[in-house]
Amino acid sequence: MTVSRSIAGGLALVALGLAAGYLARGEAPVRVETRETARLVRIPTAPAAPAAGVSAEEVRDIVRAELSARPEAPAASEAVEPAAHEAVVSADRLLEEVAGRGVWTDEDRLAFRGHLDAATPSERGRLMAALARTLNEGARLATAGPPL
Amino acid sequence: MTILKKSSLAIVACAALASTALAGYKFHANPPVLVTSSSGSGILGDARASANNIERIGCLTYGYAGSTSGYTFCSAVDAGYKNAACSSTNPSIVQAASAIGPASSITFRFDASGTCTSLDVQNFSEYTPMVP
Repeated sequence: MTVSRSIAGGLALVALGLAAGYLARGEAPVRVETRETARLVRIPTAPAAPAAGVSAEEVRDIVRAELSARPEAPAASEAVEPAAHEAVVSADRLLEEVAGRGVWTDEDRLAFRGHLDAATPSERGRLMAALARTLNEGARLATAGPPL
Repeated sequence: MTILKKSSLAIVACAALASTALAGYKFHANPPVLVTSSSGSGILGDARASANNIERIGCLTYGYAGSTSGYTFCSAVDAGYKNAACSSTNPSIVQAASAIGPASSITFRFDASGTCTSLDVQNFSEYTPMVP
C-alpha cells in the first residue's frame, strides 16, 4: 500500500514537472480558431531572454571571442587569378559579339569552353547562364554538335 | 508444292501475329520538340527522327575538379529555329540530367536569367528510342 502511494506520488510529481516546464517555455504555439479558418499562430507568451544563468553581455562577449578567433578570409579579388579574370572578360565579350551577330557557331563554342575551363567555379556558372540567356534572346544555334 | 505453299502461308501468318503481339504501347511527341519562352521539351528519339534537320534537344553535364557541384546545360531548338536554353549548378537538376538516356523525354523550365528552375526526365518504354 505504501509502495503504491509512493509510485502515485512520484507520477504526480513528474506530471507537475512536465506541466511546469511547458508553461515556462519562452514561446508556445497557440491554436487560434476563427470563423474563416483554423491556423496555428505563434504568439510570444514571455519576453525573449537569454538562457538562465547567462546574461546578454556574456553572450556578446562569447560571440566576439568566437569571431575574433576565426582566420581572416581572403578578399575576393585575391582569390581570382589573372588568367581566370581574363577568361571571364573574354567570355563576356564573346557573348556580346554573339548577341550582335545572332548566331552561335562551333568556333564560338570551342572558344567559350576554353574560357569556362579557366574561369572560377562561380563565374563558370554565371557564364553558362549568360550563354543560355543569349540563346533564349534569339541567337541561332548553329553548332554541328552540342551547344556547349 | 501444296505443302510448301501452306507452310509459307503459315510462316507469314505467324510472323504477322507475332509482330502484332509483341508491339507495345508507343507514344510520339508531336511536334518532337516544343519551345516556349520559359521551357523546352521533347523526346530525344522523336527529335532525331524528325523529318527536318533542325529540331534538337538535350542536356550536357560537366564536372570540374575544384568545383563543389556539377554544371548542367540544356538546350532545345524547334522546327522554327526557336531556341530554349538554361544552365544550372543545382545538385538536384544536375542529378536529373544524369538520368537522361537515348529514349528519354525531357522538359526543362527556366527563368529570365537563363537558370534552370526544373528538369523532368522520363524514361518509359513508349518513348521512341534514338536510331541512326
